Amino acid sequence: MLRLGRHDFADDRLLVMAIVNRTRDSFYDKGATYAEDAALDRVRQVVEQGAEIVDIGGVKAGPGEVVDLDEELRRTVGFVARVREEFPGLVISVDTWRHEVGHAVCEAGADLLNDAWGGHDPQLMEAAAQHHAAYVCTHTNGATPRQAPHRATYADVVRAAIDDTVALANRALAVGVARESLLIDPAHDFEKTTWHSLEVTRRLDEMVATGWPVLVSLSNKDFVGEALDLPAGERLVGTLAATSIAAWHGARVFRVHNVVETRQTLDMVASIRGDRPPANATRALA
Amino acid sequence: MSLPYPYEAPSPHGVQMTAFVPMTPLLFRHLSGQSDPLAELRAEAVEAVRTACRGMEQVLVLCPVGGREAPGEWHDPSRARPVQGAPRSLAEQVGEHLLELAGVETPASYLECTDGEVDFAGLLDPRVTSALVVLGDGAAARSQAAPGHIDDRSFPYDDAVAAALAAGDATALAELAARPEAAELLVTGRHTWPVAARLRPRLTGPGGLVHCSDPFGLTYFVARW
Repeated sequence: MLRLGRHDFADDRLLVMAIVNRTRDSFYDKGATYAEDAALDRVRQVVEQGAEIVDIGGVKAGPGEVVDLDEELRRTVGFVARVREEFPGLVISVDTWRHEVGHAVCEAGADLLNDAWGGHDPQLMEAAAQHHAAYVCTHTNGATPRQAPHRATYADVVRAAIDDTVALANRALAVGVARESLLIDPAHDFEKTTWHSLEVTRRLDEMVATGWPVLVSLSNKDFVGEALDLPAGERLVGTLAATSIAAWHGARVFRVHNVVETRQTLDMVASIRGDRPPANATRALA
Repeated sequence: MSLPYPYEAPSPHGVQMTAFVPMTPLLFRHLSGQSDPLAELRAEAVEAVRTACRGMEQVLVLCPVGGREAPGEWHDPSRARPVQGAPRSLAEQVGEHLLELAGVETPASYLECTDGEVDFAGLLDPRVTSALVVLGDGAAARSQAAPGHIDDRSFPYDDAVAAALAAGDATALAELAARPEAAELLVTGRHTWPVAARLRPRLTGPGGLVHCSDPFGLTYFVARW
């Protein structure tokens, strides 16, 4: 069982985590949901489309506009409270590396802290523990938040991702995060070349074999763009191909921009695996 | 004793009730996945079987010939497990499933019916009361996607079958089964209806046609005699 704050999910569920950026400069949506009302409309849309989780972020992952603590709090805390009030059944995740943000959003109703910078602020997992929230352990190879990768090398990128995320998970356990509330994320593109992200995708089953539930964030990323030589707005098909492989290997949570297409992809993979009956199978059975 | 079609011998004793039911594999609930397009049909078929078998001392299930090919096990058609025991026809498996769903505990025997002859000797014990469960469908050529595509003869043919089932007219049912177009329209009931007609020649109580539909271009009947 996976416990994400107030919400429990059976182990055979594949969960869609919809990205909701309260940023002006994120690479894919480019500020489309920066305004609070626009972000709330996005939440309403992705819930309607079948997302189980929203991942609210106040700071672009890559280099860009400086967002200090006060500004990140301003962008996230009140918004989390509004989403919590309107959608009591929705899992609310917040993408942050700052423990002050972690405490404040959990008090406002967040269920999950998505520490996309891999324990850069060691007190963030303590915030998760204190509020009985879930926590994502991300592999960033010790990168500084918002630092663009450059000439990253690994003896074995998958081994490194496993070692670092499992170590983070054990630290989180030690500070009191519940075992069933921890996820690991290899973090495609984070401190990785396209070659690394492709290899992590190809060998994702090795991360799944650790027993920790795996979250993947593949959506429209540069490794897809470079593999297919396509700009950010044209990477959906490549993203879905990677999503299929990740799901087949056993990933459990999928952080995405495109909910409808991802849901269909995950349903199809689940049906192929035999975990989900077809929606309506009458062909050649009349 | 073997009797050729059409049967003219007097009816054997003992057959009190008959249920005519479809033999589509979609009567296995799980085969259509999350949807259940034949829920109503299944419920009516089960009720017909339950009604026919209630209080009876033996049950004979009439099954159209054929369907012993792969997958052999309709409970689990997508698995590659070997079939246990002798392969059973689709109709036999559907018939057994309907008896299970109806909660019928009376021992049932299964008779595979062909266009040839049926040996009636020893088929039913005439000293006890018996129920028939008759599997078989109507024309399978009523839509673009139907197994037999579209053959306009399907419509009057199925109308006539429905009328015979509604009226409890065994003679008409046997005559329809014997028509050349019955095979051309892929009517599986052509194998079993004459045998049913021979064993239970007329509707003697309340009953008649309960259901007639063709959601997939193949006609399903449920009738009680």
